[in-house]
Amino acid sequence: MNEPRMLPPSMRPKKRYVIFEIISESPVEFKDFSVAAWNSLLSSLGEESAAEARIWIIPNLYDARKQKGVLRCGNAHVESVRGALAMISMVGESRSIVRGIGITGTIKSAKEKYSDPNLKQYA
Amino acid sequence: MDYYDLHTYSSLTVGENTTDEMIAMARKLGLRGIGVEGLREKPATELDMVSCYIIYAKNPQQLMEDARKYRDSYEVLMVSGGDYEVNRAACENPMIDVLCHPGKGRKDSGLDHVCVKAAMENNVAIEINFREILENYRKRRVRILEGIKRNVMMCRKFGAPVVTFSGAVTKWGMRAGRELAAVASMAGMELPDAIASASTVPEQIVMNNRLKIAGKMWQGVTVNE
Repeated sequence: MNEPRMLPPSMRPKKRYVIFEIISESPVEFKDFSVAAWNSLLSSLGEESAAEARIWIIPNLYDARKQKGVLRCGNAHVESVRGALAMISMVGESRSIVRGIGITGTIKSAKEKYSDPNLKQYA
Repeated sequence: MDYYDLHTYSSLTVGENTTDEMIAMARKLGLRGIGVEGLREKPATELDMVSCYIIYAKNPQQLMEDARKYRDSYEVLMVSGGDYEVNRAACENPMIDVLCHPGKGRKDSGLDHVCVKAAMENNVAIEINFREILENYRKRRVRILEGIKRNVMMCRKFGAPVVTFSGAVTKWGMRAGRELAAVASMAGMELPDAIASASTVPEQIVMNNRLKIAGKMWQGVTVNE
């Protein structure tokens, strides 16, 4: 056994998945978004709160065509993460707006909502 | 939830984009209504277009004159804050709906407990201006957030209304209502209050003023048909 065992469910920290959409002048790559998001998260939350928030921008759930993706964070930090994402004004070279579309508790439901064309209703 | 952003600028005034571009972006962001400064002729759109006027007064006398002049012509009357005397006069004037960015260009928050008490009594909403936060960085942003948090704390204590608007001068400065609420929540508001500051509070201001302009509401009296 090279890895530590997974914690029992009662000890695992609660998390939420924020589904977001990028509205931008030109299409945005995941790498550029990740850099912009981390800059904004670190400047508004700080290193300590960012560590507490356990943020993970999930690369394989980012849809470059629809400009939508999923970000994981701790359940107590959803609002501050949303606020930090709102502070993003540039992604790469293009002016952008990041809009949260919905919050879910599991990746499965995030995927279900993510593929739903009527995402507006979850906002 | 119906979100309103009543503080935006188009190319009619100092903005970069046309009113149509601002409307298109507001629709993309899921807003229910927007207010574009100086817009009198409302374009045909499914959005609730609100006519807003911002008073840029140098002193309380000028503010009073402008308030009397424009009160009946616009649905929402706002004051560009920054000067303490103007901030206080705006809070003490029941004709004013919103005091925008009271801490603009200042090192402090621009308001004290006397102003906030007066704002509560006269139903003047204090604005959290998103553009101020967005367009400043590092130490300046920290100072602005500090001032906003102080104002929010006083508004919560005295029960003065708070609204959260983008203050956008370009369509890229606009944000969805829920994102504005998240910023208000970062400034120290409880989440339901933060959501109300971008939705029900501005909506109520608009609805009441529409009734007043139509002659169906006076102070303490509403005509029900």
